[in-house]
Amino acid sequence: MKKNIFALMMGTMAIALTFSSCKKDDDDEEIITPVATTGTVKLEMEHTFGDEEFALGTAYTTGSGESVTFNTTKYYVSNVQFHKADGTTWSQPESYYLVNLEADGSNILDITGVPTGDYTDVTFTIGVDSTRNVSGAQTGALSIANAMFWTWNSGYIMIKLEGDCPQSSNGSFAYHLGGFYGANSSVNTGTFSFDPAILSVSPSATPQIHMAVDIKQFFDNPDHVHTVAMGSNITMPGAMAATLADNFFSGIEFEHIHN
Amino acid sequence: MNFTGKNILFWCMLLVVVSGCQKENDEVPQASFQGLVVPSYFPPTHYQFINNPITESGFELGRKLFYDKQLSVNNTISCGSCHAQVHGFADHGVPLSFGIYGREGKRNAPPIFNMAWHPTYMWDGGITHIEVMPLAPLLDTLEMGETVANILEKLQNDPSYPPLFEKAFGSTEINDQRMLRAFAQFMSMIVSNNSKYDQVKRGETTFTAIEQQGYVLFQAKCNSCHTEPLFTDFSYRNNGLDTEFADLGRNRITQDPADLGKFKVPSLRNLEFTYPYMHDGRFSTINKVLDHYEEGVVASASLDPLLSSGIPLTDEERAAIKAFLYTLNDFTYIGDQRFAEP
Repeated sequence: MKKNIFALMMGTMAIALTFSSCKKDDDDEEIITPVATTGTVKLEMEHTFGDEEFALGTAYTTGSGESVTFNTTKYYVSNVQFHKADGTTWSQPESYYLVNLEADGSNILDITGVPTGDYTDVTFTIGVDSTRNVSGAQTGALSIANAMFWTWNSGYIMIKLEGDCPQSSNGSFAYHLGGFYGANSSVNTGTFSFDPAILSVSPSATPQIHMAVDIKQFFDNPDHVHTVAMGSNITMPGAMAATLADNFFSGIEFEHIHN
Repeated sequence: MNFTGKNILFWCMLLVVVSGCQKENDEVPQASFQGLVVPSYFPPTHYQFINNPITESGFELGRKLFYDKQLSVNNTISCGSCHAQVHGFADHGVPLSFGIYGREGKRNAPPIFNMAWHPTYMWDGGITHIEVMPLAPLLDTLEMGETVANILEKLQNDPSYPPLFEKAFGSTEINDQRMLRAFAQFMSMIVSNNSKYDQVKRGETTFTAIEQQGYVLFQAKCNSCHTEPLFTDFSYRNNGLDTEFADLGRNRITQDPADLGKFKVPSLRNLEFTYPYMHDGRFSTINKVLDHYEEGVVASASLDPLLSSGIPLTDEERAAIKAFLYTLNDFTYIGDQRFAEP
């Protein structure tokens, strides 16, 4: 019994000593501050109608002379990538944004975690890539609560434009552009060069990219001029929807960067 | 420590009290929850339950939602209103269903069973994922007429739901993804695999002579579209109902002219409960369906080549096929209390 108690005491002391020797001396400790290697970029979609600033509830005249007033302008921006001069690319994970002109500030995309460095181009998609169209119930920008998903023909509405037009047969227009596969996909992806500007990303600054989105091109794209009279309601996938999505995309241009 | 009789009694009593106190709730399930049991002779499910494994709490939340009339805009219609368990989770013997405000729908409500095996849903296959299936009836103005945002608000304001969402998904947050995943769990659990046919497949019983005769005939004349063991090949076909199509069918989704008038091949299980038949419920009995195949098939560009000559049957063959079809009725799942209205 005495031997056991002695062994127990020695054991306890040994453990106590071990732990006490592991205690760091604060004077010798090296404080390592992790070097920030990423920054934030803001991608701002600035909407115009030709030379005019674009706003909901304002009447504009298309090149064909139709008067259009938008009540709803919503579209997806996704799969953002930044490219460096050396050919390397950074792809944003889970990159899905819903621009909704009824939601203030939603036209400024906050892109975080961008690796420090200088970038020459940006790639993004207007719409939702085909995989995510068939991946079931999702969250955030892809939540069904955003009213941008077809219940009867599973898939996202890439671009939703609604409003009034006196030249329309029913006084209004509704363009729900969807479809994500084959020749009639309404999904468009493009790369926009910043040249001669550079996007400089670092932890200490938040550069802002301004993209111009000219809504007038939806109607006046010289390749495929569209009038509301031609079709005021496009709410199914097909050639018309794909063409109009192309028109919308054609109105997007790089403007400038605020570094 | 001295182990006297008194001490033993004390510790035993303490043990009993402590073990009694460990019960977390008053609910004692009758049998332990098994999740989805895939029959050995069924193919693997199409739905892979990614990020949505079936749990008892997820299933029970889905069941509660399924029977909740709040999910309709005027709080009168639940999923269970048109998908009635006594009718195999099809509607109550009507060709077209009635939604909110007595509005009549456009197509016959299909039954809900063996859903996890389907690659697409609806008569025209417009829905390609089980998780987004409920959106169609929930949002359709002829059916439940609601919006996702409104439904979520109703659920958030109903004190019974946040704890159920917490149990099922780990927090009281109520969003559409969670709601739809709960629905997917409930729907997937409704498996129909205890008809006489299934019992024969499992070696538990044998067909009678006429049933066996019908089975052989079935395999020769029906199985190419109504393929066992699910009794559909999930394809879209024109079975000669019309020459002109009031309902465009699959064409509405694909816009392919070749798909005009094509509809999904339905399962032939549970016909006893799920009448009337076809996408618009035009045939109220199996005899009328067989009459159609025998002499009612009409030609069109998209008529399925397998039906160009119809399916002629002698009276004896018809009786045998009907006997076989009767063996596909599963009287278990229509009474399974797990799927009943809570």
